[in-house]
Amino acid sequence: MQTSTYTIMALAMRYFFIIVSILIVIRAYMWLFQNRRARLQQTRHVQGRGAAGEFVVEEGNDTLKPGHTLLIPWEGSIGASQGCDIILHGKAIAREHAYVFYEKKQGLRLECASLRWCEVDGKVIESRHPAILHEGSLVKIGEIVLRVHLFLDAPPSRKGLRRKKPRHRKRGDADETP
Amino acid sequence: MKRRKHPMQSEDGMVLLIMLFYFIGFGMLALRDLRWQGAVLMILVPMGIWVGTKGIASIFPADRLILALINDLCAMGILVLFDTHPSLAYRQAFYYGIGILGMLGCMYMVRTIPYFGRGILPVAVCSLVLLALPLVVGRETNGARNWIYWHSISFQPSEIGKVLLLIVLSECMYRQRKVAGIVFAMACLALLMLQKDLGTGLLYYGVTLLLFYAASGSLLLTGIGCMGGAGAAYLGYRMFAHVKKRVAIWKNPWADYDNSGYQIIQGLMALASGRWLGMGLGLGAPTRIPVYETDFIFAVICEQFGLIVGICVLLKYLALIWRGGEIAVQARDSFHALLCLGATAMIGLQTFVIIGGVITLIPLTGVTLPFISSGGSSLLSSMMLMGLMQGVASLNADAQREEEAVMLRQ
Repeated sequence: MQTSTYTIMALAMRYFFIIVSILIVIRAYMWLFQNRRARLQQTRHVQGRGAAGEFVVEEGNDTLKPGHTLLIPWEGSIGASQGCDIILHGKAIAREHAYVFYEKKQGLRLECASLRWCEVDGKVIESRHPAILHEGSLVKIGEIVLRVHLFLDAPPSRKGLRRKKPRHRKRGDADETP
Repeated sequence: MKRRKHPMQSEDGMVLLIMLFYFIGFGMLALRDLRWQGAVLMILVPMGIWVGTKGIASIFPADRLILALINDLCAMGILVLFDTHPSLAYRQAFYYGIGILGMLGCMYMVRTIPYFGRGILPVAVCSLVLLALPLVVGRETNGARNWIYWHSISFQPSEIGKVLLLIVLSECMYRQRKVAGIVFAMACLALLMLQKDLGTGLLYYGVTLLLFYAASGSLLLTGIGCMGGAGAAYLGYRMFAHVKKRVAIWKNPWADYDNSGYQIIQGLMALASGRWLGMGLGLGAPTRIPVYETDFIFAVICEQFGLIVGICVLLKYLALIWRGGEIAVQARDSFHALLCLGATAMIGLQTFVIIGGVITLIPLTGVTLPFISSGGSSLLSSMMLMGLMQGVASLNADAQREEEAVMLRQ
């Protein structure tokens, strides 16, 4: 192609590239915002979403009455500090007293911070030796006794997850929210 | 009658727009030079974008927005390189294919190995050995001894070291072994200082600090870390002559405009001559900028397509970082959250460091623009970082499906 012809074409096509680039960016951000909105709507309507289960207070104190529920995050800390995910106030409760976390193979587990006292189903939990929390397990932290209610029935296996996948969902959609 | 969805309203609309951009781009270059390679790329690159976005997402549980964005950025690199240096473009396309395999490998690793536990020790040792290799068998290039050459193949171990650093740091922070993580990061930084690879050192340092803050939440210790970094930067400035030179160029590139400041000045001229609309694809003189294919590829984009497209490229990186942040926040445990946050921060920081260097916001360092700059090691490591992010995204999607199933049963 002649240089002058190509120059005219390239100059004219600049506008095309700019418009398409802007459209791509707009589409990308719309995609981001729509996903975010869909997820927020979903979380608003479903109680306990994003949590592994809940603690139901069996024996409380002045600050926490029996029957009160506390959501258990997939991973978080329990203690008297405002920075903890589950805040418990009591005489023998430290600022960071224990940790809960979820592992695929073993399910939800509770680990006591070093030099702290925790009990699960009457057994004392040692530091760095986490206990598995089952449905109905009784956890004693300080003077507070909590009963575990899990939202999941059992530690799920990856095989199980595949079987549970609803049919109407597209395969391979990591970001889709219904 | 069922109304048909307009393509622009669906998610496919974005992928179609990206394909159209590169179909026209490669088509124009094929017409200019009347070369069959251009015509082949005109078909292959849009096809690769389609397969790389829709195809991969239909087989593997990947995040489609991330796939679309990285395919777009990689194709931009291939297009600009094809215009200026075609053989580099073919190499880049080949490494892109390798990068896709690396990304899938990392994604599979994140899905199959939930935690490393004691297995992290061999990974850490491997990482240190990899970083020490250039000191033994490496060759000095542009003031830094960070490359290994074997026959016609060159390789930068510190690029792969980024991925290993993230894995080791995330595991250490997750297991509450922060001191071990910091010691490992300091050993990596010491090796990079010995190689005089300060640009990569800056990335390692920034990501380590961010992960430490995310894991500990301690502003005081992070502040002390920042001050330590500032002290190390000052020490680096005093110790290394090429750092002093780069700072001097950054302060006033016009002082030595035909020698040490030549590269920066040519880059600034390219940015200025492109203006808002650009000079047009295939026009201008981007090859005047020394090492334009790695350090100054952003200036080449701005010269040919204009500042508006340059800003669009930055917004695409921002979207990628935003998405990475969202995935990290949604992660079910802190190991995966830290892994994803680290990968996002690494890409974000690298983009800031190189673009900041090109527009003289900060002194220029020899890092590449992720996905776009020419270079196999860089592209592979960027794709592997995206693989870590994709792996966490797919685990989040699994967890979400599982929660929905439980909620439906209740």
